[in-house]
Amino acid sequence: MLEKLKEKLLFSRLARKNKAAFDEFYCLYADRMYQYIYYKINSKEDAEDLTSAFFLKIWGLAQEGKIDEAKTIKPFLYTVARNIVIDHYRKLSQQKTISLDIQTGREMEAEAEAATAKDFLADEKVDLPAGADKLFEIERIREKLFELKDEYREVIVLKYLDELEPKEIAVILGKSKGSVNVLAHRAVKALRELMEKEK
Amino acid sequence: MTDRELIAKLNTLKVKPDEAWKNRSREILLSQISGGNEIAEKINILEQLDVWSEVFIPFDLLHKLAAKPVMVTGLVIASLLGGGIFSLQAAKNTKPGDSLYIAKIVSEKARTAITFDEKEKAKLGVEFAGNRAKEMVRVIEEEKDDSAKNEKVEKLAADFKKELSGAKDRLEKINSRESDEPEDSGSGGANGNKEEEKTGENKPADEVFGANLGKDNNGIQVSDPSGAGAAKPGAPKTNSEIKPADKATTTAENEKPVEKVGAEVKILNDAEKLFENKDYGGAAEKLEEIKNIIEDKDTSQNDSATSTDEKVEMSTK
Repeated sequence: MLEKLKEKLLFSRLARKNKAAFDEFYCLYADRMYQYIYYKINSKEDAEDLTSAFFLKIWGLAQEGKIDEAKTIKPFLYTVARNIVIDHYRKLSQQKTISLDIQTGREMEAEAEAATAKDFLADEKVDLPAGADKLFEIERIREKLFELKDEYREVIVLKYLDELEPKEIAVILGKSKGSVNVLAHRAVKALRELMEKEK
Repeated sequence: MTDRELIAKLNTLKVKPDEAWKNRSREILLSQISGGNEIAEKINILEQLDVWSEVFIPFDLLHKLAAKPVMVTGLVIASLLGGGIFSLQAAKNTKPGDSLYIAKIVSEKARTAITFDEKEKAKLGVEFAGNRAKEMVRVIEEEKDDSAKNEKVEKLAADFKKELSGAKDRLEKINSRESDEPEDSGSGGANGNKEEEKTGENKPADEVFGANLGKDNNGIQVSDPSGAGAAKPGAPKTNSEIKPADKATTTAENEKPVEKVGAEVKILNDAEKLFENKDYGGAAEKLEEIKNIIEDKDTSQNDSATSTDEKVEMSTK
């Protein structure tokens, strides 16, 4: 509760173009927004660039007096980030940079990497350090997460990684709270099925 | 695995940005948001100076103009634009210690921050390193106070190295990507489409690389492209493998890009050496040369896009 109040105060200072508030805002939200953008575009470098663009956009909105303090903070921020990613994809598609060949190449490369890692573990018969199994499983879940359709991946990231409340996710995705719960349930099920399919 | 168990594991998928990037980005953002205001303030001052000191309008003429609002608006716009252009131009030729130098640095940082293309960023890095070299010449010639001179020289040398190493990293990354590129499209199956060949050059390669880095964050080194299979021996090797194949074709079109990849890095190293030997003017000239080469390369790549398929065939034979 206190944290929410602090956030609200910070947001209000930011809306009044306070530079110190912008600095605090960056420290508070950089990790969170980077994570959201990273899972939207699956590229570390692009996620870094777009996260910077996100913060510049927020400052620009503050300058234009377009930050509504009455709005709930997180849905507003995630919507801005979401639009930045959409713009990014729009620019990419204008440049016709998304080709099926590259997609296939990427999938093949990912498969080859996974196979190499497995072979290495099997051939070398190394004594895995404690926790290595767990790390390998995390990596496998991440890989499968990227195979999910965008809608499912986004709701999983918002709900289980960013830990937003269903009502906040509902605003970001433009759906009802009930639909968000159903979508999240389906997304987890689809991810589990993908994991089991490989076994 | 049940849904509940999977949900519990999802929490472990959290990713964090690189701390060094985070700090760098914070600095740039803060300088941009404060720099923007400083530039605006300086432009305002210059506009006022323009109006009051440089343009003297006799009172009766002013009186006549007041009766013609369209002309007045035109004049105001012209003076505003003139002030802005004048101040940015003035900032361009500044050196450390000048009042508008901060505006120049902020504008450089802003240009880097809003440029997403790696090749463009490399070009900017080369340009800014050249700026530091030129500033160094002016500081040495014009600064009279020895202690201030030393301080500025040290700072400029550090900034030069920073810009140069950034540009070098980017160029190397681009080169290794470009040498990887024919193999990617080869493994992706038959395409032969010129447009797809070209588009694979930038962003999609980014995505593959980024995903790998994401995995690296968690400590599992399974994503090194060199380990992806015997078909991928690693970028620099691929480059050198293509080289003799290119030479075998003896066509100038095929040799050009490979020669220029080597040329950029070589000239960059030459510029660095010149700078270290205190030939700052020479270093600035070399950097100008590299910028031209990168620009030429852009155009020559477009021309030679059709010959890429042949290159891939040669290198895989």
